[in-house]
Amino acid sequence: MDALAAVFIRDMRIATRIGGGALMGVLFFLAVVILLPFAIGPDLALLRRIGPAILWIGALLASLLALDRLFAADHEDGSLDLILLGRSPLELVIIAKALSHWLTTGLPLVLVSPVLGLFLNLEPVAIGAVMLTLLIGTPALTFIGVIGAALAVMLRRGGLLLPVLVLPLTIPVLIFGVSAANAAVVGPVPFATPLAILGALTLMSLVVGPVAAAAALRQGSE
Amino acid sequence: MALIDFANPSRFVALVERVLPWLVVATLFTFGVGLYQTFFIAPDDYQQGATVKIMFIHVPSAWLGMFCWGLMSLASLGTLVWRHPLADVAAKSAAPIGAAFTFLCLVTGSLWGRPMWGTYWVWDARLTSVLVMFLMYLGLIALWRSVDDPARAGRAAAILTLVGAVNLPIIKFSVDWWNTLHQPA
Repeated sequence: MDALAAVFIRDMRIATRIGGGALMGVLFFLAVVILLPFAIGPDLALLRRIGPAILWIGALLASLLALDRLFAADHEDGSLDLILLGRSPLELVIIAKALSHWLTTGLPLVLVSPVLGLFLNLEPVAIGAVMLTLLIGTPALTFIGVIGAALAVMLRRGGLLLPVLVLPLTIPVLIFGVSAANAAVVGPVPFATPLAILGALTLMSLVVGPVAAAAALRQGSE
Repeated sequence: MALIDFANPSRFVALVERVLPWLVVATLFTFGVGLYQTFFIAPDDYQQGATVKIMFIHVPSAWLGMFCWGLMSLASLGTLVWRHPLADVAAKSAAPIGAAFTFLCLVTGSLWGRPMWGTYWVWDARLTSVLVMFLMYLGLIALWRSVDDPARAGRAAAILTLVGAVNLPIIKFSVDWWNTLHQPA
């Protein structure tokens, strides 16, 4: 337990220091969400209708941004070998690392989404719905993303391959995140139905992601 | 000779060299018979007319697209558990075949959908989940093509294949879970 806490605290420290990617994702999120109205045109009624979708796409892309460094940095400075040799189960270490990654990159996205919602002319109800769905859904993106991060170490390459591999797996999260946010505003489905499925996806990825990532790291370490 | 003896790669290759020509002939023959029956023997549907014949391609393609992923998942177990090179090869060569059949399934479905549903494409649960499978096939092929060490690429692809296998039951039951345009099948 001490070892897991140490990994968690270390990752939090690294992410918030100079060179860590904590705020980069938020800036990218901001850039994407500001670009889209230029492409679509400043039609406020249209923006209000597709606003939840824009926020979700922005958050999805931003959460992928810092992922390929999650294990690659540890691999380069050798700490990944120590983690692999250590006594704590690798799956739990990965969950600790993913949690700190979510707290430093995913949670800021959730916190700035109301401000960006104002740009997109969203009503307070819609802003609350998007925030809640992002709060429940972005951990799933992180836990699915750790599979890609571990594959990046195993294949010794990041770049464009990882989004190609990871993005198809995130489609269900996107579908139910956006449909829950839309259900809160226009219906006709009750808000709780897609939200419950979104929560189920997060819980499932909490199991599948770390197990798959641990398998990839073990296979890659040989 | 026990079945396990074929796990020896050189013995397996020798067997393949002997059997493959016969399999090619059998494939061409059954394809010929199937296409002949499709176009000249099978009657038109009373409602769909001749377009029902698209189904003779569409449905097997869909099944084969899913079977190839299932086969790759089994091969992936072989890769991860036994580190068997034949399992790598099986998974690697099944991916383009599966991608091709999934592509055929999507194209024939959309050609059938235009006269029958009035649209080439809808974002229905079945169509979307099959499209996701097609994207994952392409991702796997991209992975095989971008990593030079075949053993490493094989193990990475195996992990990704097993994660992607979650999609198979979603495809199968999508028509039961969501009441959208695609017929239950």
